[in-house]
Amino acid sequence: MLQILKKFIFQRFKKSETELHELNYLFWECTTRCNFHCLHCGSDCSQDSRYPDMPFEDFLRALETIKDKAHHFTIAITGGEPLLRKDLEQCGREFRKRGFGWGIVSNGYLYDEERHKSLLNAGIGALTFSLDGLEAEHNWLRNNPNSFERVMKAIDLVVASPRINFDIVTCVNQKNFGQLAQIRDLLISKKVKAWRLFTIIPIGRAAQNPDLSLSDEQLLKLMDYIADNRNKKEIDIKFSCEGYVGCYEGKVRDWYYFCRAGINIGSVLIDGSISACPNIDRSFVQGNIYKDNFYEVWQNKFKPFRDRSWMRVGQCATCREFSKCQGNGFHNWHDDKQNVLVCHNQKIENALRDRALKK
Amino acid sequence: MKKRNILRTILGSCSLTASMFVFQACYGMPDHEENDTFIEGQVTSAETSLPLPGFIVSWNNGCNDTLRTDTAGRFSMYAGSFQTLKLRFEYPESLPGTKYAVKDTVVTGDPNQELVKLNLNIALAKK
Repeated sequence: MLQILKKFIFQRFKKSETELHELNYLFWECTTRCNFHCLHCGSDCSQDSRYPDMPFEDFLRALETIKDKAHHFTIAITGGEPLLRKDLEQCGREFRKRGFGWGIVSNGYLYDEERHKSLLNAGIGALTFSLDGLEAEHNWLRNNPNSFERVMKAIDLVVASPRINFDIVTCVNQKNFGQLAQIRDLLISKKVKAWRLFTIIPIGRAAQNPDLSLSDEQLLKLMDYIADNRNKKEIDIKFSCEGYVGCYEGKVRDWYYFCRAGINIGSVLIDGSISACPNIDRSFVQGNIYKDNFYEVWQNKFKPFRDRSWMRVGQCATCREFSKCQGNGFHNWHDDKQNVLVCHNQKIENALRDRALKK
Repeated sequence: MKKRNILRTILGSCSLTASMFVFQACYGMPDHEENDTFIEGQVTSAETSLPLPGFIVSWNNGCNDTLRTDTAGRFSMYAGSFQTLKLRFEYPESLPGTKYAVKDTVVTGDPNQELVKLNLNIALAKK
């Protein structure tokens, strides 16, 4: 009964959040340069980016258009690899002066003690590193023989600073699927408190590599694994908000599924484009900071994000879960947008049906 | 807008969890949500009032942190939230010239405030 009530309240909350459309999480794709060439990169970043880094002043001008800033507002500096920029600390101090919290998403390779201290002093409040397996598997996906060793050192530095809201993300794939328990034990031994698990959707370079996608049965096992480990409470483990997971809703995350792209989440991309999460198809760009007033775009556009009824096509057209799922994660809509790229719920239902048939 | 905000708060409270308001974008990092203290100031010579560049400022709020004063003897940092915090100002052994005595200062913060700002002027006496 309590679960039904909570689900009902959550649905109302989602509707109210969508109507309110308050910007409180902003990605800044400050560079598309990267020191790695990861096999699964959704942004197709590389060491020789075709774009120069965005000058900080340009982003700041866009930021300063924001009127009535949300009370808790976080800027997520992403890339490429943001640590390749030498001015992150200066950017961070300017954010804090204006009342914005900030953090970075990084592969951790360049995160040494000196950088750790300077970022802390500049007011960094949140940080995510990627760890995609034990040594061989992480280095394979990251395409770099030293990446595991370096991220381990970076983790040691960060966990020693309790004021950084820190988590590890793992892209679960064919190669690391069998290692989840070992990765968990490694993170616990490193005193990491939060661990977020993703699957990889076939966009960017990941589209070319079948080793990266999970089978239906593996996704189901992943849900069971996360749900079991959440009950054990040894580490704050959760599934990312990448998709609706049907009967596992309420079991694998702190909250029910809600894709907030374009509802609370915006982005300024490397070329000045204004969008939501950076991995969303660039055809959904709503404006450009070099031509438009950023906050006016946020307030007056973003209609395909706030009203997702256009997603009622393809397999979503007749789906009974649509009111809860609303087309799955926005990043699952690409190309002609006539069908969702990945339906997590369908994969789970397929696997459950196969299991039942085997019995 | 105000009405919607009230509705939002009521619905969020009814969910029996604060997590409805705390989220992270699926490819982002967690929210920056900790209270914090911003400390800035200048280190000068007690005798000459001239700024002292390159001096070490250190503190421990859960972990050891340090920084160096800039060419104008100025420093600034976010130090997290605390009730009281001891800051140490000292002369780096590697610097040539006049030696200065170490100075410890205890500052008062407020862990319940979202952001506390403190300004310090530190005068160091010669050894």
